Amino acid sequence: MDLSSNAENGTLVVTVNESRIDAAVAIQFKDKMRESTEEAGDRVVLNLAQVSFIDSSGLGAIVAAMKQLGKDRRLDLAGLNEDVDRVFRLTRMDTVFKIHQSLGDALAG
Amino acid sequence: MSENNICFSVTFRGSPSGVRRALRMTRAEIAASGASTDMLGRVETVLAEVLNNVVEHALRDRPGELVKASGHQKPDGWHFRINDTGCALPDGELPGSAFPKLDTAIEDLPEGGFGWAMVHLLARDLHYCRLPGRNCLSFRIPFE
Repeated sequence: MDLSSNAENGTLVVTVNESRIDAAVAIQFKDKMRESTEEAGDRVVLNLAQVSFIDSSGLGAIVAAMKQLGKDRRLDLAGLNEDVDRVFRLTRMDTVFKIHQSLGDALAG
Repeated sequence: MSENNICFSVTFRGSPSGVRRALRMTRAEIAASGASTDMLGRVETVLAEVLNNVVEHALRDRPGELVKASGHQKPDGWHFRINDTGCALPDGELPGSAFPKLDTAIEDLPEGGFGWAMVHLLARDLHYCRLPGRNCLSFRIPFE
């Protein structure tokens, strides 16, 4: 599971360099998110622009990643493609996360 | 026109990588039939959930056993049938359609329980039966 991260104006951007977050990689994703966000400030943006598919295990892993950030830090999402966005809407998880159209929007807002 | 006769089947080892391969092959077959990207996405979501369920539950004690998924295009959508030789669903019934509640504190948010709810929402004519030594699940994904 390939994640890369960089800080931009106090926001930690974590980019998923994979096309899928699914049952095959959900645990790895959660562990890598923990490593990537250890030093994060109060806001993390998960850039999903390269991700074309998530299943319910991947969704659960993203929820777990938000929970492991703790109460004082938040996880926003950016760059959801059509299929990924559908999963968030169907499960109503779009009401739990702040979802930005693009990484640019996430950093501007 | 032979559009009502488009069908395919894929047999794969019951493992996460086997599921990935089956989804990739299914997507290619359905894309070749001219399906919309929305249709492709709905098919992949439902198939991913039911196939992951087979691998994680039915085949929990028999990893790597073969699973067969077949699809058949008809006028009312794509019809699918999944066969595996794992253990039966609990109580011999499909899990319910309810989504887990989200109106909780962040630390209590659910990390699972979404799969079957999405399946119920996207699939039609969902039917499960237990036959001697195997499971058979069938459903339809409508075009719209």
